[in-house]
Amino acid sequence: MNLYFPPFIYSFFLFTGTMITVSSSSLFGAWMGLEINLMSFIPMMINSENNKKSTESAIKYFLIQAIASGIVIFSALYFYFFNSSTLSQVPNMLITLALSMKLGMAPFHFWFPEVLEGLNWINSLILLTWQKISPLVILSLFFYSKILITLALTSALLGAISGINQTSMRKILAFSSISHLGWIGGMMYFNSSLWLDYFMVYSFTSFILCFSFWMLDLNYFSQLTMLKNLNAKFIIFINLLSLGGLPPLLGFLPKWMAMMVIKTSFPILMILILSSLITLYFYTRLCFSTFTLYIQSMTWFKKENSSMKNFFLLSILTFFSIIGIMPMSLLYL
Amino acid sequence: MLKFISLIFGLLIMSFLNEFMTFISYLVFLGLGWLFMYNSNLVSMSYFSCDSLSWFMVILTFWIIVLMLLSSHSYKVTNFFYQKFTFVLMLMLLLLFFTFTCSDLLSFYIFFEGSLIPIYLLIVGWGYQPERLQAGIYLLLYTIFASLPLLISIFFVGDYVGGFSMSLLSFGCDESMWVSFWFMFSIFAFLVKLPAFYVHLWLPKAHVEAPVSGSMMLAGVLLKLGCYGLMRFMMFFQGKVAFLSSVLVSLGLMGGLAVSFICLRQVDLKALIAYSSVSHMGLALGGLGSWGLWGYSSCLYTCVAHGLCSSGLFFLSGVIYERESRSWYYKGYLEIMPSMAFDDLFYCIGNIGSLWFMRFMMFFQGKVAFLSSVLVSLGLMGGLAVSFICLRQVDLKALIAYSSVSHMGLALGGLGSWGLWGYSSCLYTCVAHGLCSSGLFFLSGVI
Repeated sequence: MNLYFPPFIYSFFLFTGTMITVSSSSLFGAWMGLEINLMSFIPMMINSENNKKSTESAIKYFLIQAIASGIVIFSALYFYFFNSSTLSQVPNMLITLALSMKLGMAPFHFWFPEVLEGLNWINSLILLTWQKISPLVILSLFFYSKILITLALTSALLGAISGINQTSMRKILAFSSISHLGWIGGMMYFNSSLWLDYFMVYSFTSFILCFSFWMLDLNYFSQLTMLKNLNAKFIIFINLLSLGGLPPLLGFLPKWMAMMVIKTSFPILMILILSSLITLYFYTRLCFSTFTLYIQSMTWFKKENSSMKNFFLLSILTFFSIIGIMPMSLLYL
Repeated sequence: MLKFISLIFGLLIMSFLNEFMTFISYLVFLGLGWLFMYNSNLVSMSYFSCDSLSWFMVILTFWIIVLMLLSSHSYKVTNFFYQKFTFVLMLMLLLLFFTFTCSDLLSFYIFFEGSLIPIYLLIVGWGYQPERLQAGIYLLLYTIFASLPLLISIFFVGDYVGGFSMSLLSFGCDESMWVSFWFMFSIFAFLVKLPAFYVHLWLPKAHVEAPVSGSMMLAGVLLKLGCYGLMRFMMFFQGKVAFLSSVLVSLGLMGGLAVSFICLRQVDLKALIAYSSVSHMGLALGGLGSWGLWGYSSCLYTCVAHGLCSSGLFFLSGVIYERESRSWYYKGYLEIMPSMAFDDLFYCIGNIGSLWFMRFMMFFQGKVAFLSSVLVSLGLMGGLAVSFICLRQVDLKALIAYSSVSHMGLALGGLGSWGLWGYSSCLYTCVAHGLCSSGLFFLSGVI
């Protein structure tokens, strides 16, 4: 396994940018953090792989994020103009739209799978989890509720529906992330800070998945059937179902909390639950080769050179996602 | 309680070793220990509780897990992932034990859903045809889709009574506005799991595609989860939705009738048993829908009896399948395995008998149930009769076979007399005829 990770300096700035955003007391500081974050992530994307696809996705990412940041700073100025005025809902709407563009929520989500497709697993994980922190934090402070709930429900449904026919693992993760954003937005709409817990558990489960995909060298659906090791297949299927939120697994816990928050509004809850059912469908479709206990044996199989050394960590993480819900739910009781 | 849980957990860990038959002795030990829990009525505010309802369900679970192990010995012989098979089995045992004994509504829901995973793994992993994928998806999504409303309803109930403990359910609900909607919303999951008519479509598919052990578990215990949940949950709505009784009863009984018509034209043995179990569960639902003590206990007894009988029938169909690799009506098996035909006959009788016992309990329910029970018995007996008639090549056997059909007609007549005497005479006829005719067939086989 290759722990080569050159852009350490970039990852430092990546971290710093998010911290600046989260801890700044003005919208301008938050914007600055966003920019630092963006500017340090782009060289990470380009440096870590030397193919053209990563460059293309870096450019796409840059364009989208730059436009969105421009709108963010524009609406910050707008806030400044309309300070202490009732008209300030216009910049409020603008900043909600811009931040959801940064996050990749539904009507503005088209860049997200495309960008993710060109990254390696470490960068995908960062894009799926860490890059979402700062826009989410700003969004939770400055959202326009009607727009937010519309975007959240749209992204829950669209993420679920467009994930159905995907074969690339990255795209599946991207669409599931879009539909998870729907849940997070739904919780935010009710002014609950529990979205943070949702986001943390989501990050944990997608960390396990990205880690296992990276370790087992999986990029496409069909590669999953070529895995010879049934235990590896089991690990992947448990984590996928956990991400999908099947009840006894860890991924159900954030959904549970979200349902507790959202239960005051029945239609929103029904739409979110329906969308999570659709995501569950495509996760189970991924796992068919595991469930059928099917092991393909071919003479020209790739020699399995990866040793078992890191399986240990992976199986511990999987163990967490199996029984993790018990201690966590005890915490919340 | 904890001693049982720790033993089951130990068995779960033991499944990583290469043991197979050793499990049976442990499970027998477990089941015998559980026998002494009868009437202990540990209803508490804590996490686990046991009353006679959950006692019955748990003992049924132990029994059927043992039978599943016995029926799948060929996995050990042919080395077909038997280690994983035992693991899935023990996982299912643990989850079902939790489902039946936990007294917390939310954890009940979680384990209720969780017990779906091992059965899904069984069907998709060890099933026979490629269509098992579709069947598995049907099973999974159908039941999860239905049970999400239950979760929402559990939240509302928890808010309403001020806690998620099951014993709080008996305080009942005083709402009058939306109560019927709330009721249907919360029992929908159980109706799908039961399955009631209209939402039963996942069941025959799953049964046909499942391995023998999977369908034994499905018919034996998992359908009873629906009954169990209904029996727990209807306590909350007691007396509030009495006007919905007619809906439930007619759903159960008319559905049972319709399904037993479907039974009559099945050629696949497993599908036949699956449809007959749908019909049985319809009767159980009818009993529950009567909102009475008799109906309640009849539902419990139907569950137990049907769990025992149908798992036995599935076992026998699996025996056929292992020898013939098809599960259509079998012809001429009486020649090869007379004692198996005898077993089959007995299980069928048991199936009818359980139905009849049930009828006896809910004496007042009307005529539809009677009709449907007759039709189910016609379906099952028709299956047997066909298998008998097909022995016609040999004169002697045809003679005995036709005589046995007529005997069964007698037995049915005894049942039809609606009395205790008729009931017992039917039982005795069946037993006596089973003994005699199998002896006769044996003799004819010797000749």
